[in-house]
Amino acid sequence: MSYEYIKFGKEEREFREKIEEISGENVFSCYQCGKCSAGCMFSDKMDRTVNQQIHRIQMGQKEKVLAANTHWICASCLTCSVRCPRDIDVAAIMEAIREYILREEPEKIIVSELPKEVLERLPNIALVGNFRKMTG
Amino acid sequence: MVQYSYFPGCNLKTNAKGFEKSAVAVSKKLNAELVEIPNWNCCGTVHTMTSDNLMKRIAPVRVLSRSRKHIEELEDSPNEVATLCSMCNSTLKIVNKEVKVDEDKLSKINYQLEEDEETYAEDMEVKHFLEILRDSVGYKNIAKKVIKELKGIKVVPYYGCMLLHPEEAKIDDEEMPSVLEYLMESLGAEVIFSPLFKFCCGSYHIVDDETIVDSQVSKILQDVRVKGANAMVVACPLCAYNLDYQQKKLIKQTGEKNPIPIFYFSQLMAIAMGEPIEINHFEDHQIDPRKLLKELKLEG
Amino acid sequence: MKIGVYICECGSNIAGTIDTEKVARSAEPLPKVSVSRVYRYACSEPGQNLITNDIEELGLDRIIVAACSPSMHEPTFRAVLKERGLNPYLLEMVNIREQCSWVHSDKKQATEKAISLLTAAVLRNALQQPLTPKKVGVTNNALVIGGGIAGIQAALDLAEVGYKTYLVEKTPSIGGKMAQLDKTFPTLDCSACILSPKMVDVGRHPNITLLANSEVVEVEGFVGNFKVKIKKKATYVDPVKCTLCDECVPVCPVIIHDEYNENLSPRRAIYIPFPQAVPATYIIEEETCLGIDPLICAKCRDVCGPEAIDFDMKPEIIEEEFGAIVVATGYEAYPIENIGEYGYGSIHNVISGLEFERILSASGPTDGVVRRPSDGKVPKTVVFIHCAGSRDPAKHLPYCSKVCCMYSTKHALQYRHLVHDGTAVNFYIDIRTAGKDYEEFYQRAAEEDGVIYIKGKVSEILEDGDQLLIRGVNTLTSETVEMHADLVVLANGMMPSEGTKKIASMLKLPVDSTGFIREAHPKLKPVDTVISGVFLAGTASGPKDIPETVAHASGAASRASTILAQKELEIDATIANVNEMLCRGCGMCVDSCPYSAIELEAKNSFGHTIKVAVVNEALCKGCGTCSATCLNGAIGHLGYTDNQILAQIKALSQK
Repeated sequence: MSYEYIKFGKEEREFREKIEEISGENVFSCYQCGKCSAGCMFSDKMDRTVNQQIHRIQMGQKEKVLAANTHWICASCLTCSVRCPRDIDVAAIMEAIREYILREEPEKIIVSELPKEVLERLPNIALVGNFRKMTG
Repeated sequence: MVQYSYFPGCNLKTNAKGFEKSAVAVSKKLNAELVEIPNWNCCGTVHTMTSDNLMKRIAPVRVLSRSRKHIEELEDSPNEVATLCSMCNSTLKIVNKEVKVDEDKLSKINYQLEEDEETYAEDMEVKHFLEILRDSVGYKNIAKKVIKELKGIKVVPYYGCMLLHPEEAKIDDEEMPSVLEYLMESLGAEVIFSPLFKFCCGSYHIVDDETIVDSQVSKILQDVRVKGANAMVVACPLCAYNLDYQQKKLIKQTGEKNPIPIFYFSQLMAIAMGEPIEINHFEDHQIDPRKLLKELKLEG
Repeated sequence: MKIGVYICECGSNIAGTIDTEKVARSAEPLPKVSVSRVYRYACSEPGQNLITNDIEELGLDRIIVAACSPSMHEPTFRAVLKERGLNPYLLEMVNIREQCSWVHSDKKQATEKAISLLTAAVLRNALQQPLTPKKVGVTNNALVIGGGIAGIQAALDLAEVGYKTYLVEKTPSIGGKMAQLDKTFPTLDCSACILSPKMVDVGRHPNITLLANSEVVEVEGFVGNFKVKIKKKATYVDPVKCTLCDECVPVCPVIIHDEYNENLSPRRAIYIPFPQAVPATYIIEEETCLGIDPLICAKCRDVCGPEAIDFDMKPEIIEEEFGAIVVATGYEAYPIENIGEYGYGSIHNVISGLEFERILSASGPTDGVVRRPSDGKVPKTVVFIHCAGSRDPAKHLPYCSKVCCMYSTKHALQYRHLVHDGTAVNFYIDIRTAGKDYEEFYQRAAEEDGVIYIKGKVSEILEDGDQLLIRGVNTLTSETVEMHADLVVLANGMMPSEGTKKIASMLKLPVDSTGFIREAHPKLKPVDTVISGVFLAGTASGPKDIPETVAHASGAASRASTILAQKELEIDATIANVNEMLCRGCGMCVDSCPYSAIELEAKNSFGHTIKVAVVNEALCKGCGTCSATCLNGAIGHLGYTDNQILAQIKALSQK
């Protein structure tokens, strides 16, 4: 394991501020208790815990934050948001990471490639919900 | 007759026909008739959690505005728009609260709606049909209309996420809800508690990664079976789809012998109140509930 | 008339943002000003000497100090005037620190504002009149409200100094929450062993009148002269005759929860709260007894050998006067049933910290064997969850309750001492061990007693068969974790007790946003309140552990003594006064006064009886609300007359 060289410059600040702007949340309200991760029912499928993502946003580590799958696995069930002792809308921060990416690369999933059978069979709310979360 | 301006949302016309038809039928019996809003549009499905995107809020505000016009044509109608789908309910509720506290947001949205003379005056409340049943109809009055007690149905109430989250949209206590429990008891069913009552079904991941849904659904169903239940009751067309359709798939893979039928709460009400079974569209279900109903002599 | 003006730089506190020289020069041309100077620290001894010398040499008779808030240093500079034979009320302070330098960043604008405020002060100062403070006598008795460890300590200290002290306790025995604890951190002293000698001392002390089962119902008056009504409830057992033989208990047909054991065991309607109770007597609980009526049931009276039981006992109202009051009304544990995701109240084996104290106690419901409530089994894995309610501004208590890290550590350690093959796991956010020997205690728990600490909060507790499934996180390994436990102990935080809220509103004591009583100054007057003569002891003002509570209580007793030791007290002269010729007796001032200092009295005026407002000089705080309310301009304010204020407004509005 090597040392992680950390710095707190313009890039780091800008990334953090953009996430805060999109989500409307102050990431520094987080005191890293971890309750968001503890209650997350998708944590077994995430490669980074939710609180770890938030800490990395505090640090402005854009590359590491975006590389995780955490925000794509998040299904916006909002358990983290309603239980956060510091009243942070944690799910909104996950949404902000998604949006940050989708505003640059709008197609996390390619709708035209979905099979017709799937489009016909699945409930509208699943399709519309998914497209809203995974396309720009 | 008290009439409610009712917003169905897309799914009640496609995958969840039985949910709508059974709910409308029992609503008439309970003096709380659900009357569909003419010309409604999609609410947007999921509420956007971004703070800087107003476009995604226009559709739900338009729904509120049309519902407000609609109630003028109704009988004894409160300033409330009734919903059945828990996702629509959540989206409409959150946006309604947002524009009530943020005049600036509302005026920008209204600017877009002006052209069609559909501006919104923040004078509506959004009510899920379960809230109307609990707060306006009352469990006692529901029990009075029961002609066939649901004896033998051991049902796990499953709330999913959207009925209880977030704070702005919840219809009950988010950690200890009781509305489905009391409703099922007033129909004569036996209520079985599962701690996974709001363990997310995987939601829209059914589109991009089925394995997420499969993992969630099998955890939920495993607990339901361990607890000795023979049915689940839900209020969300997406929870219902994931629990029903994916269950069928999982049963094929695992050879599980104990299928758990998924009911909408209104379907169980319709059965208990003696409505014709056809209105429930049980033929659309993958795990056919009619088998259980037949065993318990509740079919006809 | 010669006015001296002194501008304080307060190091860089003021000089950093304000051009003090410019401010000083601005005062020189003003009428009556003889001298205007800048000094680095006006409150220092050389600073005070500068003023003293000017008074002597230049013959100054009025002083203006532009510095910090008058609540900070007005007494300092008034003393300077008094020492030189000037009337102290001819001092005027201008607050250019809190109102200028600390709240502005633009030096030019801050300087202009300071000049305006100073100019206004000079014009007002010229109109100020010498005032003479009134004196009132002092009753040398003390009242201590609340009989927990804080009240016990304060009462004992006051009584030792020699003051007659009343200790009023709402419940049948003194001892409070400390009497329920098994052991105390960090020494593991048995709580009852160190507390009961003090309780016994209270019961025996010739200067202490102990009123248990009693409540303060009314407080009137002011510092040195509080008139208090205390309701003493009937106990229906004569404490003098009662021999503590316990014959009455088994025959009582009423069985209810025992609150001393946190409702984990039963008791009867006739009972002694706990074996070491003071006063040492049985009592009949009126609310649960079948009727305090021999026609319904008199089984206890029938078996009582010494005939101590008296169904005709009546509640009494005791009226007494006190010079000072110590409020020691304590805390309550946070109602953890509010934390829905932890299931307290619906899941049997999720218990509170105080419940676990009783379970650990040899005199508790399980005779000191650790057993869980659902089935009495000895739990093999116990999970302790810190911050159950604390540090949660979203839904519960915003603050850190200070004691929970330590008491959860103590619980885990005690559990490990009692169940050698048991596993004790603490889930925590941060470990806070600020206190003498506290860090060492925590290290000992981890190093020697095998207590496991996991950094991360638990999100939910689910029932799984006869076990509990804990879903949490380990933020150090960045993994979400699940584990099974046989028992979960929630470390509930502290919140103000009902009694604290009630007494605060009765005495008109301001409380902070969380309901704890506010100190007069959080650092320099931590046991004083804004009501003179009323002092704070223990957790009524915020979470504290036992050593801190005891020190706080001794501090309160000492502060109360500074009043009780006086024969008479000076009352500040800047108070309201009524011009009876203008007063119409409308009573609006009476309603507006936050201190109930004004009353309407009938007076004879040219043969007619009229009503006029009369100000109680001892109660009046000089806040000015009445002057602002009076439609007739009949209530003025000594030290802030209309003319003086108009002169200030005129100066400020010329800018």
